[in-house]
Amino acid sequence: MSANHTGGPRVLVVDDAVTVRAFSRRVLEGAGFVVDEAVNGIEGLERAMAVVPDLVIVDVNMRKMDGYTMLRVLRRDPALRDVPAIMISTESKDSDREQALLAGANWYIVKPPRPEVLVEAARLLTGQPLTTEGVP
Amino acid sequence: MSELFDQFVVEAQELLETAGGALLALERDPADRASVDELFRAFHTLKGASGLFDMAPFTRLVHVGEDTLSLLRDGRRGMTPELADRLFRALDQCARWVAALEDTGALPADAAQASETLVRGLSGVSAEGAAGGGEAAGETDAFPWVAALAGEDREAVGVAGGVLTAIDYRPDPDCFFTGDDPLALFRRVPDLRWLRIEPAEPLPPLAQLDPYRCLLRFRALSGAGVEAVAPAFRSVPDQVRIGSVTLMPAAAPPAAPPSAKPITMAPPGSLAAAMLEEQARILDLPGSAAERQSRNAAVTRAVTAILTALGRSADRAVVAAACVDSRTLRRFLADGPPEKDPAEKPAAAEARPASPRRALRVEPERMDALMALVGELSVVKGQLEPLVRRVGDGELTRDMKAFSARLDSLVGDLRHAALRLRLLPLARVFDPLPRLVRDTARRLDKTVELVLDGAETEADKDILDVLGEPLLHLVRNAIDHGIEAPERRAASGKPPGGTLRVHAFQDKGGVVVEVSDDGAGIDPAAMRKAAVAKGLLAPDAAAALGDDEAVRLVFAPGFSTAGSVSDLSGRGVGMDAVRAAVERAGGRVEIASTPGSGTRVRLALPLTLSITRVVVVEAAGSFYGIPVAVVGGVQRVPRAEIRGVKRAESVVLRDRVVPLVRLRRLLGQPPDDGHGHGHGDGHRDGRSGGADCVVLAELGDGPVAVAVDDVGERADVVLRPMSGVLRGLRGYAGTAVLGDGRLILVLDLRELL
Amino acid sequence: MPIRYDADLARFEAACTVEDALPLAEWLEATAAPRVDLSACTDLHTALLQLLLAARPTVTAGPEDAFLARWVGPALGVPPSPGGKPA
Repeated sequence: MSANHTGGPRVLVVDDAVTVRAFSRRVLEGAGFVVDEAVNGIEGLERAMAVVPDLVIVDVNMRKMDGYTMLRVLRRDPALRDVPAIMISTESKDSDREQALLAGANWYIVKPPRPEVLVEAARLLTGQPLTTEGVP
Repeated sequence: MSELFDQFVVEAQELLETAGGALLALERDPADRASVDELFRAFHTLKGASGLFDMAPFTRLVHVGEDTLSLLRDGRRGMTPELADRLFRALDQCARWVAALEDTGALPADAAQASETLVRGLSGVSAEGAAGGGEAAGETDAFPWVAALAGEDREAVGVAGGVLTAIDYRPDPDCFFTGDDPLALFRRVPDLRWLRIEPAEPLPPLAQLDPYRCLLRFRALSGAGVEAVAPAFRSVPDQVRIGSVTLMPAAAPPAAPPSAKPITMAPPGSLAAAMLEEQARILDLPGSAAERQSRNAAVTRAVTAILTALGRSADRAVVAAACVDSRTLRRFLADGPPEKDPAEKPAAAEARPASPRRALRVEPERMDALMALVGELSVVKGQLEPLVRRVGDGELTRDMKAFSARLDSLVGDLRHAALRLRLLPLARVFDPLPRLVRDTARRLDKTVELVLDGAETEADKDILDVLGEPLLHLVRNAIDHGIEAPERRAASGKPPGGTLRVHAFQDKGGVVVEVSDDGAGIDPAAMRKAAVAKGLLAPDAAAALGDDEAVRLVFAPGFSTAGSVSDLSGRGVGMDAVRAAVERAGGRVEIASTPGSGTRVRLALPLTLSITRVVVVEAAGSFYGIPVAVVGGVQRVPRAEIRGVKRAESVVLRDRVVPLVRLRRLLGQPPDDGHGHGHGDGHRDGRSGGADCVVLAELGDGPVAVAVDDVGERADVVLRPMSGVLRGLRGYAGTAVLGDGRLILVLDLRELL
Repeated sequence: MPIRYDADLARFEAACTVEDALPLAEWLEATAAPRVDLSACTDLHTALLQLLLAARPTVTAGPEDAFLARWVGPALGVPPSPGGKPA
């Protein structure tokens, strides 16, 4: 179900903020993931179709195509519809979380993410063993 | 984390620039949806990105900016010049902060205060438009992590909805050396409810970890008041932020319905448990059959993965059977299959850093070194040709000549390529103009439309640096003195709004920037009068000036066109400074004005400072270069047409009477007697027949004809400043080596005359 | 000596200060599967905590000191011990 290639599981980070992408890349690569990036929903979909990631982490507000739309399209693609997805946003309201789940997200993280939370969530959704004992 | 930080600085600069542009567009056309969206997104992205770092005042300001924009976007608030002012001020502040972050790595000490002031301004504005716009969030915004606390943490803190004191302490990395023990400070915090200690940046592997460098960050909540908490941190005021926050009731995943069985497959309170619960909830979300089907597929895969991560056996088919609705999944998760043998756990994934793609950035010094080497190479290549000639005739010579020619063209290409590396689009100097025009026009109550053209034109970075300041001045000047107030424009039958056009293009190996306005123009008669009044010219000299020359007086030192020096363009550089800056860079300034219909100022600059295109001229057997930028033309003039006596000659060129100077005399050489001047085979037509070779130089004060012995090729040369004993010599811009290895002196005619 | 090293086990005793940082770093690096016993530790300098966070040794016994048990133990993967709860 998850990584059938030699590197770690493949995570696609879709965010229009280069800083956020760099942060996610650093944190996730540090935990052994292979990270792909895209700057908006359209690019995210193209990238997802190309690499078939084990997990996508999607920002909400992006130009050209937002995260909701991207997830909806992703869920309609036969090859990608079961790829676990985390939506990440600065909003912490219940309604935002609900909207993310409706669009197809499996989990919702409020920005800025704590590195260890991001890693733990990514490990869980890609079936990687948690290295740290005792969940905080 | 510094790489990430650098990236933030660059991204923030870009976003602020985008936001500035969008705000300008939005102010012009409040219905411009694309600009509102652009602006909103810029603030939004800044908020998200800045939140990764410890810069709460920044985050807070852009957050409030985002809120304001969202009111605009939803039509709950209209755009006004006042609102634009405040948003501009917020953007300016952010830009200053980003500059400070780039320089010092931290926000200035007064950032929180500055942020507060701007936030109040913005919320004041947004509150006007939105009923009950102001949220009483206390300082919660300054501690975004408080709102993000997960459910179990909130439980531990214990006072949902209550007021707490938040502590965000990022010790100085060198604090161990000064005897600090950050952790120990928390022993003195009264009613400590919650403390999270985590690396402020990912910790390096142990072998690379400096045990004496503190990389941790402490965040805490206390039930005591700010005044009670603050004393514990008295010794580290610059490293800690303490503020009062309100802990809102959890927005985190809603707890499972109380009737549901607890999930036993994951440790209670763990992220895994919360995630599994969320998967169950997703199964019950509304949607079309297709939507639900694909959600179920995603949930099945997610649950399988989570269970695998927890070391439980997770047969996908079994999980899939459970992922039909939330009840079935919860039941499955509550009494799921037995735990797998921990020994079967797969090994932890190994880190495999991938190399990120990056744009190439080159240090200017290295560029200069490359240019110097290219220059040297040209010289060495030039010495090859005489050597080839000495070899004599034969096959070898032919081959060497071919080789030399090939080398020639390669060196030429190399020089061209190296030169291009330094070229940047003029957009860099155009970028500040829209904002400048907006602010200046608003201050003067004028309406001005700016038309920018040719921003893609390229020039050397040094030239852009030269161009920036004069351009700002010209634009300011045009709005201040050129474009009239709306009433006056209307009275003279013009549209009330003026048009300012800045147009850049490439020309004759250089770059030209024209600034033209459709304003009042410059009245030559008034200029003559003013020049006399200021004592710059005698009345008869002023009267003798042609209209064009009278208008050119604006470039004379100590001249100001307006009756009074306005606070806008009177400050800083004057028009004479514009001229001086441009001419120093080997360029020239022209002005054309029609009273009543406008003024056009034209700046012509070489493409680059390090490579200068010169006309090679000869005088008394030596070769000199005259920068092409000042050369208006080259021609032979029959001696009969040169008027005047030896000391003050003049010639009519293109219907103008132009003073003529002889380069030999300027250089202190004996006058040309018409023959025997150093050239073995120097026979040239017309010379003894009584003609002079004349270079028409367009200088700031007007054209001058420079008589030389001969005019040679035009050449691109690397100009080197005069050094050593030559440095004291006036009249030379520097030395340069021609392609064939000959050394020439490049003349600075302005200084020489 | 506040930290006693015994093959792969380090025992933290009483107040462990910044002076212990360098030896601890060296020991953590040199030891294949380090274990630490924090039960007798009454004060843990931040420098030592940082090393433990970076090296993640097995904690055989969590601190008994109330402050450390409640706030530092969990960060090192020790479940908050009942004895550590402050009054």
